[in-house]
Amino acid sequence: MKPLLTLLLFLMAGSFSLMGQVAGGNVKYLGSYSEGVITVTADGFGEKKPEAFEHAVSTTFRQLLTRGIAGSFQYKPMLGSKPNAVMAKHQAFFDSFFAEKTYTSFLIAQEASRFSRKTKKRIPNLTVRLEVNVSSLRAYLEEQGVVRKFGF
Amino acid sequence: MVALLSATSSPAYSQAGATSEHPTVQPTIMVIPFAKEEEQLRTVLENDAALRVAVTKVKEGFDDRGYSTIDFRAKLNQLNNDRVMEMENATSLKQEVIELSGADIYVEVEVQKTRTGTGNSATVVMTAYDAFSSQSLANKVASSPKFYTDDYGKLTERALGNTVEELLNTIQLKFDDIVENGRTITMSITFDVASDKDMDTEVGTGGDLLSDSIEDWIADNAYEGYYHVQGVTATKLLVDAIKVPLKDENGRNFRASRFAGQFRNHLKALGLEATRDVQGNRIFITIQ
Repeated sequence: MKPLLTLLLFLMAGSFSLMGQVAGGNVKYLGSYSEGVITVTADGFGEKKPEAFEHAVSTTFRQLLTRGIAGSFQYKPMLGSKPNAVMAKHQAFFDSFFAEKTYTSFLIAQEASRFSRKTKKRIPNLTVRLEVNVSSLRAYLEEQGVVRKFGF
Repeated sequence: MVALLSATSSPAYSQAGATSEHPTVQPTIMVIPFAKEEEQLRTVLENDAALRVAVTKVKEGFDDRGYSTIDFRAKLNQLNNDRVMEMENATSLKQEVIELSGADIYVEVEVQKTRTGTGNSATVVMTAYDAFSSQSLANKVASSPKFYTDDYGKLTERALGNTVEELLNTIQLKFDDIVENGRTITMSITFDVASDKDMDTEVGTGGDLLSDSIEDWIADNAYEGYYHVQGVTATKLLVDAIKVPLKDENGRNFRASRFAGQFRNHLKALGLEATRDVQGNRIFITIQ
């Protein structure tokens, strides 16, 4: 009876932690081991490994741009206080940024877990560990006129 | 006549419509060490290597964003050494350095060292202020883990980590807000000692109190009607926040002196003579 209860509690704890991840946008901050670089893990969903990988990476960049990465130095949106307005104003830029996967050039390192074919809604098919060069991404966004350079 | 009336009565500040033909003058920033009231700024900085590390790291953060800061030590050296040594009050020296530098924003940096039996640590406190309105723009505190070392420079570096980035991001959000909602200027209106007028003097055809007339004019001419009166007495009216646009209708930087000039014209229309002084974003009006 006791081992069964322990197993039940373990499963419940697991499912609650999973729910927390989903609510948090599937991107979790791990640390910042070099200046201007953020390391995160992100969950990816997709029928095939490349698809799930792209999903995880693009979700990371979307979160960085529009919501920020909680716990990191970039905990506020990179696009400023009105990220959705900036996204709408520069729609062509962001369409191309995500469609042409320009964001991959700001990845310093990437590692993927084993791909799972299971298609349960809350269980990701893949988890990736990414190192994002935020300083370089900011400089690129400034150069493209998407965000204002430091100052007025 | 209609055109004249509309030109004089409408503030016509249109930030959104302003063109960007003229580059905006960027705010000047200076990073300074924190000093207690009885401490000399120069002594504090020269005797504390960890503080120098912190000040330099903050400046480095600005440099990394392509933004040059005013060098505090260079400005300090501009002041006569003897005079500096004679200064008893460090706070007035700080004010003097800030005014001499012409910095719009200054970032005050403080390093606190903690020594315990289980290791030493450093905590860095950073606060960015608007030099003219004294509004706080950004605040950050960063602490290092404990290590068995007396190298507080290293501990300070460890404490700062990416916190300078966070400080800059917060300041940038304030800049974005200024671009959108205008910048803040202050105005102090006083009377010449020989003046027979005060804030309760009735002015204009309606016999309004001078203080009410002034406040109405400010409400009409502040950007988006945003202003805040800190206090009013019979002899003084202090407005600690008036929003003005960053750029004028021609895309040039909106100058506080222009606002002061327009206000002086308003007083003239009420039959009052006044002098005005402008220091950065601060306007001082003296009614004769």
